[in-house]
Amino acid sequence: MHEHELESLLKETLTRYADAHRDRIADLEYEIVEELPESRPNPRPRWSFALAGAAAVAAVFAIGLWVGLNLSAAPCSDPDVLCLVYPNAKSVSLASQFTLWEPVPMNGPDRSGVWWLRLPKDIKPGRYEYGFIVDGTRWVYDPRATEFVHTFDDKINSVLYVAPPEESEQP
Amino acid sequence: MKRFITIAALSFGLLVGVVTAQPTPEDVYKCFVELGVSDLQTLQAGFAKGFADKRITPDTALKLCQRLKQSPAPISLREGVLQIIARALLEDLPVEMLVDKAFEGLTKGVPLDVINDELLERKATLGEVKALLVSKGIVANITIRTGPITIQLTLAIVDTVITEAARALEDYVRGGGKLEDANAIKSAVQLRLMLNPIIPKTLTNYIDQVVSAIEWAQIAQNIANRLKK
Repeated sequence: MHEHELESLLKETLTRYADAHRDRIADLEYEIVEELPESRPNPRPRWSFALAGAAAVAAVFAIGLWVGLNLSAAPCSDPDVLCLVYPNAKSVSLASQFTLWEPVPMNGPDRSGVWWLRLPKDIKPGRYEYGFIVDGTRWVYDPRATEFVHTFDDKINSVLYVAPPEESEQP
Repeated sequence: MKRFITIAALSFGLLVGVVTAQPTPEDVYKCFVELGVSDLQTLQAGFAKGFADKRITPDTALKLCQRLKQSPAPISLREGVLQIIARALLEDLPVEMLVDKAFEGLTKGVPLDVINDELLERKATLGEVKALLVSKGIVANITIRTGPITIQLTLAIVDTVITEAARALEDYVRGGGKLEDANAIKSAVQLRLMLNPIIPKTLTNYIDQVVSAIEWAQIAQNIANRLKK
């Protein structure tokens, strides 16, 4: 038998077989594809994706921290914290003798519109005048203060007393 | 590797040195020159004395000069703030209240001519309070003996007494306190002295004994007269 005769015979046989079993091989490709995931090798780690993921986690954490700081209630019952209720302000700063009147941005506002700032830990005992600067221009005194001082005619300062530590003695 | 570590250590040290370096008097005088002052000699003399007496630090003086550099006001008014402080230092007065008011006024956006008037008025009050205390023998670097009690008067303590008394009188008058109520004026001063942690209670009691209500009231009246002008 010649080679081309053998090839023709083989084609005919395969065609007959395929026609006879068409219904059985119809799902063959699907079955092979179904088996593929189990034999697929693990993909290589992609560092760009890892970095992007880490950045996303950090961003979510930072936003959460910012939201937590700004929306949680201001700790105004703490005697070392100065507070001002000013819901409509875009920014509030504290200016005081202990900062050489340099404005220091306050935290806030919280859900109640309260802005707050903790006094510096190294503040020396004594009497300090202070006030708040709302939206960079408006001078506002602290209505919670117990003492007030008139300066520069129309601008009222609030007064804060920082007590010496209990263990220290008068000179 | 060793060379790398050495260079890194030196760089870090240099960085720390630059970050933590405190301004010197020369930095302050340089700022005065850059500001374009007309009487540098008086400024230098006054502030040099202030630095030596520890009545003001170069750091604070430099900050004030830099704040004044940012002001759009005429140079004569900006220099005026520094000249008032320098002259107070030359007159051996504490300047904490003047420096404080200068910074406060600049932060609040008060016009510099108003700040200058305020500083001049308060400088006069400091001078009157100091003169009153000197007349009672309350001066720096002496020891006062009153009965069994001995009080060491340092420059810092006397300066604090002068500053607090002057502040109390200014606040009383500017707050609308009655000028004819001498006892209320004296109480305002005594309370302020008592609340200051630097001033010994024995000294506050001594001042209570030797300075009369009328004497404090006279200074309050002088303040009121100056404010009317």
